[in-house]
Amino acid sequence: MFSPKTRNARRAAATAASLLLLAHAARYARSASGGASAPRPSALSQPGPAARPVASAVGFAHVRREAEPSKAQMPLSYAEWKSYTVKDGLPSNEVKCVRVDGTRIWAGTDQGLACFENGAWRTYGVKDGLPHRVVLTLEVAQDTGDLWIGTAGGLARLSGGLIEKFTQTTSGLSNDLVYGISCLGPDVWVATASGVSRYNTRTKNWSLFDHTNTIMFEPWCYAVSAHDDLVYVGVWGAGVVEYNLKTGYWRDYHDPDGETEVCLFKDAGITHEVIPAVSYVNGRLWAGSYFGLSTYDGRHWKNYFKKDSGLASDFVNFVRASGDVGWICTDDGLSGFNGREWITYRKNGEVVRTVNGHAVKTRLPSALADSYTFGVDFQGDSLWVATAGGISHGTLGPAGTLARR
Amino acid sequence: MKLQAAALLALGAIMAAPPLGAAPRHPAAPAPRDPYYANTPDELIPYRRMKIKPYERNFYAKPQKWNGPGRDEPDAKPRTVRFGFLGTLDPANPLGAFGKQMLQGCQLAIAEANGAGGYKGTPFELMIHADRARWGDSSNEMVRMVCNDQVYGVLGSVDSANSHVMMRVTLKFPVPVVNSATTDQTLMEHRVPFITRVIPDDRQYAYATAWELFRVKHFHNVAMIRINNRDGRFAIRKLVDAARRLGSPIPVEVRFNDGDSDFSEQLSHIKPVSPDAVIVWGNPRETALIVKQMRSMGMNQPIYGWFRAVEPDLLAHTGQLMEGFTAAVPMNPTSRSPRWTHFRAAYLRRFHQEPDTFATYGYDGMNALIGATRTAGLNRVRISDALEKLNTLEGASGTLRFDGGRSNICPIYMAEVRHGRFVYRPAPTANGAANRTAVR
Repeated sequence: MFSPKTRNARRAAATAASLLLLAHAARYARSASGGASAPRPSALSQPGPAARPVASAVGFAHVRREAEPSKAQMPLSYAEWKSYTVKDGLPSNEVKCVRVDGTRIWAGTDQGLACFENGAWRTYGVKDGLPHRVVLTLEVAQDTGDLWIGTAGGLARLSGGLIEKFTQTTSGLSNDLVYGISCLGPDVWVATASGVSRYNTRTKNWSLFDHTNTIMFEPWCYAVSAHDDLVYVGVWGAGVVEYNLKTGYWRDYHDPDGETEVCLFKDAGITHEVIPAVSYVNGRLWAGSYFGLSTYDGRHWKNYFKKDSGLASDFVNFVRASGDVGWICTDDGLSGFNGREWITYRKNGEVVRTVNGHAVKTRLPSALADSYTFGVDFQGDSLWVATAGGISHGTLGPAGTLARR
Repeated sequence: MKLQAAALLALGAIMAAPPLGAAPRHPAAPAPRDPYYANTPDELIPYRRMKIKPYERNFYAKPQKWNGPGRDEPDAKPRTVRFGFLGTLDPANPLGAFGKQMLQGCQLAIAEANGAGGYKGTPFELMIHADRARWGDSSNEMVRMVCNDQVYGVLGSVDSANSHVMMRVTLKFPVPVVNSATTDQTLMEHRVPFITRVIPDDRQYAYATAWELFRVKHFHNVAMIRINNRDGRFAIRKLVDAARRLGSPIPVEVRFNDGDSDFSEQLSHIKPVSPDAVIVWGNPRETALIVKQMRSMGMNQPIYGWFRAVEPDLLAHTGQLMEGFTAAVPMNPTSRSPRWTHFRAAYLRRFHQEPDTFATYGYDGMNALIGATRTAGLNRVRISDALEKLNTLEGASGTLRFDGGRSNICPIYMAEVRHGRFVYRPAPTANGAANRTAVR
């Protein structure tokens, strides 16, 4: 252990490093939004011409939020965790998803939607217009600021403070059980229990993609991630399918050994046909299964299991990448991975940093609300994590560098 | 509501024969799990001849533990303890007859359990939901059962597509599911820890059928005609693999659709191959028609089929033509075991119909749910835990044995048509498989 003197010196250095990172993050945020004074639309602001910029003729007007460069290209050490539960105003501790929209945090729970702003939680339920009380997925459209809400009873859009419902009987939504949403330009891609629906917010047209008109041989879609010209869909029982927006071609990726109980070669392809999580950022696909994590850079697959990496558990519920760092929500903790280093957080404050198979454990005084994690999103240098015991906010802190060792 | 509850209990008491006592046994320390997934015989293990050891050999060796929420929630105090039923009930659907029998089996189990006092005096109630033609609708029905009906467990469904949809929902809405009719092996191949299957899966029928064809009968040239749906596609997958691994790959595989009546096109592709035997993988109606047309074309090969075809309807319309037809089946309805005898008598008394495979496993599956609920209390996750701990279960179908993937791998049977009726015998066991079952 360090002597008090050494510890204080390290802490001071870490604080300085954190401040530098935050300053950099603030600078980046200003430049990404087109300047400090540029107004940004939000789901709660009144709609108007300024709040709904039209996509440009040469490309999508949305800000590539997921492509933001990571403030540090390695898993950050979130040394301080603050958790919010029903005691703080959440409708339920079972938080199934989280999405950051500027200073606003949206949380989907099994008892409704919640928004954290100015230090307080505000809730939305069926009486406010939600199609169902169980909110499974959230997405913010960057060009309009609309919040898209996927529930167990349909899709909803919160725009200008109003909730608009879309169900399989009132719209082109293919199924009311919505597992994943991804916005790309004017298009909203929706992964449902029976295919992927695409809603064009400008033309109001719906398109349906399932086993009858695409390469996917099962229609049970669990996750979708659209970026650049590619849309990736995680399908239950049919691996990953890729849709190229430029060419209109579909491509599929399957477990190459053809046997679900076997992984023949470690890095030959995806580990399993059941894919509940995908995130496509910076030209890299992150695909989570209940049998580990796969990444694909367009040429090579790499697989990671608990037994051979720092992955918290092989049972992956959700993946979201920021820059080159992927955050993996599992049933036994949250793991971050930058291609070289792993860091895992658990409910008991345990932090495990793994490099080249060598794991170092530390313990923090604060921790995730629960090790069963459903979702994650980024707010500058901080992290919001949806867990089975509430929502947790991880921030950098002086103690973070201790955990980093 | 109290009157309704009392009426349910009273009805159960009247209708029920003496309780079976089919509550699952929960050994204090579970026996070690079979290291061989799905009781796979040595010769049929994938990539067994490779000199390089697979990076991961068996993803399903250990049951997946649920680390999520729900286990600590206190028991509720409902007026009735509800279980959901999801099945094909439309009589126009080819699977409707199976769904009806499955429902009746569940209803009998519920009535008997209520006759024995329900759950600590609270009656059990079955919430019946029908799956629809469109696959996605099953997910909506599951959500309704969990969120609106507040069920403690669900039994269903008949076809694999709807069952898969149910399964996916449980990860977002933790609720135990017992499957008693879908034999698609992939239904359990995902690690979602909420499903238990009481009916042996397609792997078991594939292994037994392949062993009989290629090791007992020593056939080498076996053709296949099968139903062109998800059930058929997955059902034959392991059989095709097994044929290849045993050195006799299937030379011809042709397909037909449910409801087809003319199979001459498909049979015209099989006949020139002069097969030693033909596998006909379909429901009773189509199987009967195919056999008729085969015989009329002068194709007199032995015919092997799917357990779903082993129904009285199969024999009713084909007369002597089905003689020798053989299929691997999950249970022996000519058994004289007290549980089967009791169940059959009670079922006949109540529904005036012979119970089939779907009725029997529906009854066993519902009894598994009831037993787990009585053991674990009114908490969905703990009920699922109790089901997970099941090593064996004494049911009307026989003694069920579960592998690490929560699938029943009990020894199965071969049904063969002799003198116009089905005769049952134990299925041939491949090398090593019998011993592994005994280990469990």
